[in-house]
Amino acid sequence: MKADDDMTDEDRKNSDSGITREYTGNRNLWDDKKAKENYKDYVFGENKTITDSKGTVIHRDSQSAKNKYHMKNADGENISTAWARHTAETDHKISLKSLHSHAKNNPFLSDSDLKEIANTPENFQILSKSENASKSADNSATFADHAVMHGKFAQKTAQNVAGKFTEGAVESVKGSAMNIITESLNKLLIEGESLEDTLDYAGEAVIDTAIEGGKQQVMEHLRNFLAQNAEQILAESGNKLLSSIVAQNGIGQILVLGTAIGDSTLKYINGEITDEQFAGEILLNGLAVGISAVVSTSVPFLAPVIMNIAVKVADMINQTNRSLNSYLLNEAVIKKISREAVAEMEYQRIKFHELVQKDLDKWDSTVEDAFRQLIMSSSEDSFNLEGMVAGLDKVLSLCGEKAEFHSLNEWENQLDMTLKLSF
Amino acid sequence: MLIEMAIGGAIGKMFYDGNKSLKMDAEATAKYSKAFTREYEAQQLVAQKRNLADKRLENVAKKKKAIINSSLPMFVEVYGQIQKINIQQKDRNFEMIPFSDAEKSGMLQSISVVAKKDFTDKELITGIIFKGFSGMMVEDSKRNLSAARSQLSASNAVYSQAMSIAEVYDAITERSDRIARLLMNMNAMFIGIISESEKIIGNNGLDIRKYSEHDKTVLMMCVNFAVAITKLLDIPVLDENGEIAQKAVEMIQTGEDYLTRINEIINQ
Repeated sequence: MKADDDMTDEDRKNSDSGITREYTGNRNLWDDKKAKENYKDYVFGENKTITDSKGTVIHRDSQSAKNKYHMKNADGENISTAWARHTAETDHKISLKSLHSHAKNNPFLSDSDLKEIANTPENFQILSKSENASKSADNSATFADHAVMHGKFAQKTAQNVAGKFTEGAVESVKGSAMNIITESLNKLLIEGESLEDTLDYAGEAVIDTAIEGGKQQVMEHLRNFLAQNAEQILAESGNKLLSSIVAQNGIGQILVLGTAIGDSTLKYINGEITDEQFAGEILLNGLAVGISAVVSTSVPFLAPVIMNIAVKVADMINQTNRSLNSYLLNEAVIKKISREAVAEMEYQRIKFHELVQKDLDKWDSTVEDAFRQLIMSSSEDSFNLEGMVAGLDKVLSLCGEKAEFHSLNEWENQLDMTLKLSF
Repeated sequence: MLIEMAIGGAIGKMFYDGNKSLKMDAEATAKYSKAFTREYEAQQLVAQKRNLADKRLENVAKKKKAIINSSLPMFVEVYGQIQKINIQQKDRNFEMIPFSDAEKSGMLQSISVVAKKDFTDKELITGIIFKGFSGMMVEDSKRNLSAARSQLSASNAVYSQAMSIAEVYDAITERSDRIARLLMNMNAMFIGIISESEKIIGNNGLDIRKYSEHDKTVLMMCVNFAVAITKLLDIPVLDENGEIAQKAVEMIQTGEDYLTRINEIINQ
C-alpha cells in the first residue's frame, strides 16, 4: 500500500489491502452522495414533502423550503433560518467516523468495502438540515443498527477471506496438479497400489494442497498488511526502546508474544478494542507469562509496535512451517536416490545377464562340438587320432589350454622321460 | 455468535484433525509393513540363491574329488607300467567359493529404519501456539507417514540390490553345473580309455614296439585325457580377473554405494 499522501482516490478504490487509516481529510473516500440521493428518492417517492415523527413538514428540495419559509426579503437579504428545519438531508445513522474506527484495522476490508457498507439503506435516515447539524454522532443509532452494521462487516470480511483463500487454493492446486498426477500414477503403476487407494491419495492430496495454498494466501495478505502499516506507523512513533524490543529474537519472546497477541489481535482486527486497549492487553498478557524480562512496565505500548511484533511472529510462523516441513525434503531426496538406484541397478543387471548368457552359450556350443567330435572319432570302427586330439583341443580351449600330444611321434619321443602330472 | 461459531469450528477441526491423524498413522503402519516385508523378501532371495550356489559348488567339488581319488590313481597304475610318472598333488580347498570379491560384497546391506524426526523444542512450542495441539498431532502423523514412505522407497532399492546379488549367484550356479557336467563326461571317457589301455598292455606286454598303430593311439589319448583332466580341475567357476567377475563386482558395488548414500541421509 502507498503512503496515504501518495495515493489517489482511484488507488484507494482499487486497493484490496486495508482501509486508509487516517480519517481526517479522507471522508470523501467513504461518503457516497449518489447513494444518499437514491435513498431520498426512495423515501419521498412522488411527494415533495413528508412529515417526520414530530409532525414537522420536511421538503425534499431545499429551494422549495427556502421559498416557503421566507429565507429572504424583497431586497434579497437573509431574514430567516426556519427553512433549515424543513429541508431534508440523508444522514448516516452510524457515522462514517465511527464505522471507520471500527473497520480500519481489518486487513481484509478495503476503502470501497467500507464505502459500500456505510452507505447501505439500513444505515440511512432522513433528518432536517438543522437537526442533522446539531445532533452528536451516533446518538440516533440503536443497538440493532450497530448489530446490523457489525454483521455486514463480518460478512464482507468472511467473503474477502474466502476469496483470498479460494484464490490461493486454486493457484496452489493448479501448480501442484502435475505432481499429484505423477505421484498418483507412480503409486498405481510402480508401487502397485490399488486404484481405490490411489484415488483416495489423489483426493486427499488435492484437498491438502488447496487448504495449504489457501492458508498461505490469507497469511501472505495478512503479513503484507501488517508489514506495510507497521513500517509507516512505527516511523511516526520514533520510540527507539520499542524498536529494540521488536528487534529482539528468541524462543521465549516468541512464546510470550504468540500467547499475548492471540485473542487480542482478533478483537483488535474486529474493531472491538482500541489501539490503547490492544496495547494494554498485550502488556497484561505478556506480564502474566513473564514478559517483564523483555518489556518494562513503564513502556508506553503503542499499536504500531504490536503490529511490527505481529510481523515478526508471522515470520516466525513461516520459519516454523519451513522447519516443520523439512522432513519432506529428506523424503524427496530418499525417493529420488532410490528411484535412481533401482533404474541404474536394473540397467547393470540386464547388461550383466547378457554378458553371462553370451559366455554360457559359447561354453555350451564349444562343449557340444568337442564331445560330438570325440565320440565320432573314438568309435571302434574308425578310431581317428586327429579327430580325438582336435576334440580334446576344443574342450581345453575353455581354459585356454591344448592337448598334451598331437601326434604319435611326439608321444613316442618322450616315453623314456618321466611324465609329470600336477593336480 | 461469532465466538460460538469459532468454538464449534475449533471442536469440529479437532475431531477432523484427530481422524485425519489416525488415518495417516494407519497408512504409515501399512507402508512400514510393506517396506519391512520387502526387505525381508530381499534377504530371503539372497539366502536362497546363495544356498543353491553353495550346493552346486559342492557338486563340482565332489566330481573333482572323485577324479583325484579314483580315476587318476587308476591311470597311474595302468599307464605307469609303460612310462614313469611323477605326481605333484596340490593342496586343494574344495570348500572355497572361487568368486571371493563378489561373495564378500554379496552380503546384502540393510537399510536403517527411517524413524520420524522428533520435534525440536522450538518447533513444538511455536507449532502448538500457531497450529494447536490437534494441528501438531497431524504434523506428527505427517512426519510418521513421510518416514514410512521413505522406508518403502529405500526398500525398493534394497530389493533391487538383492536381485543383482541373486543374478551373480545364478551365474555361479549355471557355471558350476556346466563344469560338473563337463568333468563327469570327461571322466567317463577317461575311465573308458584307461580300461582299453589296460587291455592293450595286458595283451601286448610292456614293449610298445609290438603295439599296433591303434594300440599306440589309445595309449597316447589315455595320457592326453589324463593331462587334460588335470587342467580342467583348475578351471575357475568365475575367473576373478575375467570380464564377468569384474562386471559383477562393479554391479554390486554400485548398489552398495546407493544403499550407503540412502543410509547416510536417513541417519542425518
